[in-house]
Amino acid sequence: MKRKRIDWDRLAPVGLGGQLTVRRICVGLLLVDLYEWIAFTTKFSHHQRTLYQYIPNGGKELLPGAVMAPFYQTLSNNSWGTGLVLLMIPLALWYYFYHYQDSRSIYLMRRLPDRRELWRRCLTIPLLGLSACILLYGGNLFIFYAIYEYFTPPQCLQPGQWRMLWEYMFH
Amino acid sequence: MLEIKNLEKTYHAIRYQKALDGVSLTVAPGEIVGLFGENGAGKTTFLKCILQLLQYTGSVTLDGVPITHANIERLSFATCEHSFFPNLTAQSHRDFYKMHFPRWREKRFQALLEFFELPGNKALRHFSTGQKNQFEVILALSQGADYILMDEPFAGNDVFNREDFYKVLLGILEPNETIILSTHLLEEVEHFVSRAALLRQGKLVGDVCTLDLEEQGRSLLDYVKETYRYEPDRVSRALERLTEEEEP
Repeated sequence: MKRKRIDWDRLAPVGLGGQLTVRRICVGLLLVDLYEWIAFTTKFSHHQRTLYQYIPNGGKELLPGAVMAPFYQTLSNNSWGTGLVLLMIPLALWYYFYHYQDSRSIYLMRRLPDRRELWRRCLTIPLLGLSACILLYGGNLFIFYAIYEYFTPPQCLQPGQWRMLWEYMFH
Repeated sequence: MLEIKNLEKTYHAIRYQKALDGVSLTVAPGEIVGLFGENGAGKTTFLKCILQLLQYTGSVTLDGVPITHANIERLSFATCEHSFFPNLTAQSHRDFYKMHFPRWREKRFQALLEFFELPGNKALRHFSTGQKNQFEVILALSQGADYILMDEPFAGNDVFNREDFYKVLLGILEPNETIILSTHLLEEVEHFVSRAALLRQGKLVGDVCTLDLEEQGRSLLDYVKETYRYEPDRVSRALERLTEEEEP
């Protein structure tokens, strides 16, 4: 079956081309994702190492009463991801005000029989970018938490991880 | 029939200035209406209100129905501000218009493009001002609209070019196609328009058939001057005053 390709140019302001913007957003997401993974694996392995004492023959044993750092402390501070999310607002504004540059194509866009055309071309890519950021962040959070749970000895886990994460994020 | 009743528009940003003050005008199919008035008289605002680009009070109806997205395709607009996409070529504009306006006139578009020798595959931002104006008008004429609104469409075109345009327009327009043309070029369009509407400080101060003027042996310019109560000796009086002040 032939795969249907999305014509991004029809979802961006006329004459601006959506393909390149989508490609740039994808690269941005990929870089942010990479950063998140590096930050998580570095912080997680650091916190995990503190749970053990290393013995001369190369082995390791759990320290008595050792407690793993809360999950939120293993995450990056997400400033890159937030930046990418926030970039979608100026992108939508730029798409709208593009119709005032060098001409007033806004007059044409506003008098098209299809009233949704202007908003489709101004908002689709920024909204998809925003959704992709949220999905990526949410997906990473669940994967990281699964890794955290699986690789941390159960006796070292603190209760109320999600509550702590919530408090960290919103306080 | 395009009916405009008690159209009022106030710009709140400019000290609540009334740009249009109770303008009423009825335009029948096939008419070529010249919209005249000094700068700031409200000509552009009037056209933008008809096109629903500005909020207003009063009513604008097309065959008795308010103008919405359902019937807006019956109106087209050519403006000196240009409403095309500068990054697009002429042929890409054709594709876009064809997609959105089902009554697109392909034959007229190609013929006009050829007549004005406009390149089809060059981005419009590389066109000269004259070519941009020509293309703007070509789009308005090819959209397939019944009512073609034009706001100073030839600003920046030379006299020969404008002359060509009037001739072409008169040659190609079908009997049901209506034009409302806002311009300062009174004498040039005198023989092109069938009716003249005059705006002054947001009010409709004159509405006359050019045929009536011809029968009366008056020119459009005379009519405008009379309606505007133009004082011919205004300049000489001002000059006199100026020279008096400078004398010791």
